[in-house]
Amino acid sequence: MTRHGELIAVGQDLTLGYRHRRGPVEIVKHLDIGIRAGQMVCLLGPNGAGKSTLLRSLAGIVPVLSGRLAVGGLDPFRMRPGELARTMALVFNERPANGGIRVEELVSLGRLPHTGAFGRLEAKDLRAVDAALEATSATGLRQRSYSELSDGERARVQVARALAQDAPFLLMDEPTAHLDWPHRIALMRLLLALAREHGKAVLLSTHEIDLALQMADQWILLAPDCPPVCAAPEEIALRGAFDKAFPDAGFRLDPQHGQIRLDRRPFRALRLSGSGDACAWTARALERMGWRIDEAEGPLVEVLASGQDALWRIGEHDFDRLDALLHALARHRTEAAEPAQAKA
Amino acid sequence: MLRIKTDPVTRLGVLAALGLALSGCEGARLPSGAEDAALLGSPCREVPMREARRFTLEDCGQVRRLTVSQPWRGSKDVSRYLLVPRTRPDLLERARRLARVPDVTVVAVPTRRIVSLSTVYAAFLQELGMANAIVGMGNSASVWTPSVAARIRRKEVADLGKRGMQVSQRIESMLLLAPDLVLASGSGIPAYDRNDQFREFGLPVVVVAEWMEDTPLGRAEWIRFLGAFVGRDSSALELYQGIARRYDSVRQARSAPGARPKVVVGSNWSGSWNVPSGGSYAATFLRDAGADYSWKSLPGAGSVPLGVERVVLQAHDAQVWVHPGQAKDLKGLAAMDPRNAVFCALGRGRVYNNDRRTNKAGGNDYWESGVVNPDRVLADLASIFHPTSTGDTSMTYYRRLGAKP
Amino acid sequence: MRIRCAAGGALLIALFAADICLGEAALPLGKTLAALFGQLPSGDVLSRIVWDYRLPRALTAMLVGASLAVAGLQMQTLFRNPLAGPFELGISSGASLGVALLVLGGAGSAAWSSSFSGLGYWGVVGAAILGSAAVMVAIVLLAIKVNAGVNLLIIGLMVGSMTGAVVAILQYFTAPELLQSFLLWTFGSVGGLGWTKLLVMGPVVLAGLALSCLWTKSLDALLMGESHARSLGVSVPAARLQVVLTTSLLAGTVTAFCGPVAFVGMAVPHLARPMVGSATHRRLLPGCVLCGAVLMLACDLATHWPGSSTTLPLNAVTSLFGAPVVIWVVTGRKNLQEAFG
Repeated sequence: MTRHGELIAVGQDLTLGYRHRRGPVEIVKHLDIGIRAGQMVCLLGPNGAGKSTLLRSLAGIVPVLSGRLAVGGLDPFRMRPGELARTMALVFNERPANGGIRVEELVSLGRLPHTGAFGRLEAKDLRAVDAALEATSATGLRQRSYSELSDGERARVQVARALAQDAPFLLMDEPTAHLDWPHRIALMRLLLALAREHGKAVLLSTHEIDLALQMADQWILLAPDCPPVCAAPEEIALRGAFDKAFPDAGFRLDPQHGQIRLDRRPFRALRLSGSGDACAWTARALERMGWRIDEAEGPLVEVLASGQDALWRIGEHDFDRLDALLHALARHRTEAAEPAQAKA
Repeated sequence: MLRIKTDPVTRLGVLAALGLALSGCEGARLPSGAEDAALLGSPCREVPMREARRFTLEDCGQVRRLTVSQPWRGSKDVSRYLLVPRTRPDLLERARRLARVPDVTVVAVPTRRIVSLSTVYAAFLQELGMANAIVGMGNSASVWTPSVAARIRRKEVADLGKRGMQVSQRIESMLLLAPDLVLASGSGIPAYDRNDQFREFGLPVVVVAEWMEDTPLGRAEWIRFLGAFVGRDSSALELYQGIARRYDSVRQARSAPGARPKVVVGSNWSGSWNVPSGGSYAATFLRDAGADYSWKSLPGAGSVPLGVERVVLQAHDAQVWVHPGQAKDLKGLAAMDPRNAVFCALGRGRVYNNDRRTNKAGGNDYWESGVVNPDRVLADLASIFHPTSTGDTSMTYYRRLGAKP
Repeated sequence: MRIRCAAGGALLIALFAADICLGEAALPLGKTLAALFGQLPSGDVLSRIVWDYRLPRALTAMLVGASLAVAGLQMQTLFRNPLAGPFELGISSGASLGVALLVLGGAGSAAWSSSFSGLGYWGVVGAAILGSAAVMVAIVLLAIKVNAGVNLLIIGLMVGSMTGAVVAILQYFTAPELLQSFLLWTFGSVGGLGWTKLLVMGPVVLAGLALSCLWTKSLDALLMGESHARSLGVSVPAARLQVVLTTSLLAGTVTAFCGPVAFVGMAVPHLARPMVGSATHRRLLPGCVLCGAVLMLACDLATHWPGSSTTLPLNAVTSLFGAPVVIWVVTGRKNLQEAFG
């Protein structure tokens, strides 16, 4: 069992890519990473930036082009398969050779590094399998055939397998792809729990920026024309590295609110007064519609009371529902558009 | 149809003129009635054959007609050959003109340049004293007949059977030889039969079907078939009568009541054992030589694949074993399959194979002069089944398998 | 599961007994049993038939069925393809090529007679083993360079085609008499082995089976795909080599002694999977051994059904059985796409 905070994977000045006949192709240059036990690290970046390459380098499938990479103190490419199995567990996208395999057996495959010559499962192996299934809430799926499961269930079962392997480092390649929203959240929460409660180092590549923002301890951000970054997400946001990684994407990481905000052109200002949830949601709705919330300029929207009895007042009109207010403002926006254009 | 209006007198006159003109084209003598019959296909006097069933010889004056029916198993073909003396060019021409019917081949006899595509014909011709007429041989390497083999070595006979030789090359070589007779056999398998192709190029192909005869004397009688082509009819008849006489005397001697030794034929191959049927060439020999063949009641004239077990059950106690496949000696036979020890004949060393006269290329005289002289084969077998004082050295085609190589 | 094991075992014993008691020579049952238990005098021909012909044949059938099934199972896992088998990898073609070169390529009947008589039988066996080993070496060398199982299967198919073509060329230049024996060999047979040959084939095949059992863990790891296999503690190149080695040992030897036997290696794993109910090779491999033995005994029984006067060629029977299995695999099995990625 690794100590919480212990450095599991460390890389210095890594250049990753692959060797072509005509010469090496470098995809990621000068990356420094440090992944510790108990951390959940998200690997982000546009497609083609090198996320899969990094994962494969860490898994020892391809060698690094230059730099030093050590997982559990050893170079993964040169590690013997036995040592590799004790160090890391992979969940990459590959279908099993026999899709009709039962969930129970598939998860038991994770115990292969621990079993004897013939792969017989002993009591401790069965316990590990049970624990893994329970941790991933997959106990009810035990006897089902893998090919009959839904995508969400399959993802959980694969994680269970990796968990049963009892290795300190978990690597996953886009485990949340093809999952629907509740399952995505569930999986991310599971992975976070694995990191926090089981002390594993969890690395996954994902496109779920929102969830990564709320859950990850570190991001590894790879982008084609930017230096790669490995740091806490807030650090990355403050440095502005995120926006540099996704230039011209039409959104930015708002350091003030800790959110991804789409770039919009607000066209008129409004004043907003009120407090509580109703006020906060009203502000979001107004910004979504393109209004700018200002302290001094523009007509006043008052949010009176709160909760179920909230009332919205603008000028002479009262609205008892938010969408009625929005509807009225939408009409106003189109009418107001003409004078704005006339001015211009 | 165009109608020509003429009166009867004019018509008769035109016909008479045509008739005269035609007859004038034929040369000195008009054909006699018998030859006409031959040329036109009507039956003439048939020359009786003793045992051969696959060909008939009809004597029609100067023209002879040979008919070969069913040249291979399952064939419905009938081939006809008109043998016209070379000294009668008028007949030859007339025959060639009239014989537009398919399967009628006109051959000018006696033939002097013969291509033989199978080695057995060489043996027949040697017996007839006409081996020197051979100008080309298929399967040259396997020929045993000494005079022909020697001429092949001296390159006096063209080799038409080189491995990998294409059909077109063979045809070319044959055309260059300008043979007046090509002896071939047919198998009925289109991939292997090239006779029609040869005929298209004008080669005079005669399909010989001696192997379709089920009796040894029947096969030997084809010496008369070949004799007709080389102009040795009377010597062919004499030779055959001598062969038949000697064959009959051995057969008579062996048919006397007494013990008939049991015999087992063939060998085991991967659990299957081919045995000749009761009506086959091999079975006839065994019967005539005074042996008791376990499967003499199997109908047909071919061979039947039986399971090894049946053969063992029925014939393990046979006193004699003949034709044990490719084994060279008793040790080899035991090594082929150690279970062969169950056969008493092996234990007693009475195993005989018909490969006494074989050459390096695998040619076996049993299938050459053995076909022509079944009396010698029968004599060999008779001495096998009823050993005489002269022992094994006097056999012609058979040899007793020795203990060691 | 236990019940299935017991049922399978019972079926095996029943078929074994049937194969011994029923043959084309109708031996009375009482005599057969007496012969088996040594009640008949030793020289009795019935006893010889039962001991020298039937018993080795039944044992050979079991060994052949088990070996080919295990070889097929391993190939299906390695190549992730439900239609893989010893033939598809070109092993049987390699063996055929070896035999063809010896028999057909030699100078006519001189080579022919030397290869099938006496000591020459071992020449045929040796040629077959050498042929399949040569194909194996070629594929192993290529396997090191190839990084996906599917590519290896394609290589095997192409090698099989090439060897088949060379054999066809040899046949083209051969006289029909020589061809016949070679063709007979290609029909396959389990009846040609007596005790001496069985005592050579048996240990080799059993060694191959033992090695396969030893290496079930590698196969299990390969179930998750080659990327995951290494992270499960198994070296993928080593696993490939293991499969290739055991397969050539099993299928090459069987082909050498019994000729090429079709379809068994491919079809039996598909039968065993639903019966065993497990995807782990620790259970599936013995399942294939049992199913393969049972199937081959049944096919052998069919080739020499009592009452028929002739024997059927073995490959015809196994193909008659195997083709419907292929059709069943392709149409009936649900989630076939998912099943084999």
